Amino acid sequence: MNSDPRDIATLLDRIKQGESDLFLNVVRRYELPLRSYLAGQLYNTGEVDDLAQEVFVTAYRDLDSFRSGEDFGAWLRGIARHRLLTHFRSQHRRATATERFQEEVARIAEQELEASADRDAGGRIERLLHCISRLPEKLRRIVHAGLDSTRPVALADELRTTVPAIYQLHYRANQLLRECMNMEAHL
Amino acid sequence: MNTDLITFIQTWTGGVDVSDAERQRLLRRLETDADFRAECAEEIRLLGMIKAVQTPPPRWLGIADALGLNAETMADSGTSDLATQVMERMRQREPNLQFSRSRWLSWRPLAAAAAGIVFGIICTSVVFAYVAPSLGKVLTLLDDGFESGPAPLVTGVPVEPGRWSGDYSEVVGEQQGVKPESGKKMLRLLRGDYEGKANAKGSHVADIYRLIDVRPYRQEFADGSAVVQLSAGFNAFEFPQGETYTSKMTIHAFDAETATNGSLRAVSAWDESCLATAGTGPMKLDRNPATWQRLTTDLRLPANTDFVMIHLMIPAAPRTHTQEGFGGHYIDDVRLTLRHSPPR
Repeated sequence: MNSDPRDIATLLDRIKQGESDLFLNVVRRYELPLRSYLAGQLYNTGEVDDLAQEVFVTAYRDLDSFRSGEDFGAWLRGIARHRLLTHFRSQHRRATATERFQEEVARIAEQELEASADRDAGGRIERLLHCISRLPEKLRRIVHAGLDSTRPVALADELRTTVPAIYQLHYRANQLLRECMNMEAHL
Repeated sequence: MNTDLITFIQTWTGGVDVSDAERQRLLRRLETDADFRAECAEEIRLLGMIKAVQTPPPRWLGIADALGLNAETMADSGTSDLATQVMERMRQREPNLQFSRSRWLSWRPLAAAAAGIVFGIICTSVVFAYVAPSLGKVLTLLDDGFESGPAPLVTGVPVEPGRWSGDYSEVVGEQQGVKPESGKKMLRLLRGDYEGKANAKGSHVADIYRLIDVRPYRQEFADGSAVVQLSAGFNAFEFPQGETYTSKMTIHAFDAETATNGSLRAVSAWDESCLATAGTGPMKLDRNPATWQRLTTDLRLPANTDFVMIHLMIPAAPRTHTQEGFGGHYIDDVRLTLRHSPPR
């Protein structure tokens, strides 16, 4: 969630002074990093979007508590972590086994997930998009389809392979994407 | 290859049934093995990024409320700096790669870029186009408010042009607080399955399709200068809190042989067999029966297009949808137009 700190500082100052609609610029600038951060812990798109919205609303209401000069993206992720915790607690009793697993993973790997998000330089998403377009066709198809709980079976059927093979191919695609993003970062 | 890592991803995404004992074993390893923990975090972080860039963002209505803005202001409020940069840089890198630009794409350019890539890579031969404003006449290929005409078939994907077909649906008047967007009737999607559908149990997407023969208009797009635009209104009853429904649409262009040889029954094969495709959504449906939410998408027609298939759908979040029936989900005023719009 890196941005030019001077831009953000100016923007936030103006919002604090009453130009509230400028907060839309903040949303536009940080929505993808925030949604991808949340999707790396929840994965359900509807829940990710609901939480992202709650995070932005909380950020807007608590803007006075943001200290100028700090990393605004990290501050948003702090709100997001708090919201995630509340979300997991509120859902715990009726959560599925997968959701409980995600909750445990988010708790155990909190530092690693945060460190990974912190490494996201401004161009990483651009590089990801570009690198997806460079994947071999079959891997692109799998990456596009995603790994939601209902899709691997259909995808395996479509591609005439097995569900475990779909996961292995997606893992391979992720490796290629990382290599590609690293290479492009050094161009 | 790290077998535990693959099992971890399967478990985390919920794609495979894993025993409680296996989950606990993975969690124990996650707690005690720092390298494994780092690998897993990297993997799910990338999955999250991939998911975020490939799905359009929500409409941010809660933010609009907090800021005291209306939804239109949100939608018309310009484009993301980052997104614009991404589009521009990608064009510079690949001048031959152009982007399909539907309505939501027009104000969600980064998602548009992602979707453009996606649609581009899964079609055998895709025409990407940066659609210019309409320059000439507009032909209406379909304008259906469900006020008249035969009832939709409930037999799945249509094999003949000119009639709606898909999952169980019915044409209805005002009900459950939902008034037709225009006129006195609208289409209600009843279920996520159709007559004779195999493995219907658990289907959580209500689909409706229409095949349109565009050969009579061939002279209008034979030079690749025409764009079809699909637009439809979606609405829902005040469904229970916690349930999630969205709406999506796609347009696929096919040649006559593909459109009529029965192969379109396999929807999953469309992306391989189509000449071009575009899509929009998912757009999350609100719980207000008074508001119609509209999706619009554009597709530049390849010169050899014979048929266009339009596909409207309302997916329910699988976790919240426990039965085949949909409580009250509606479509109205579906329009498909063709206009001249030379590529830039």
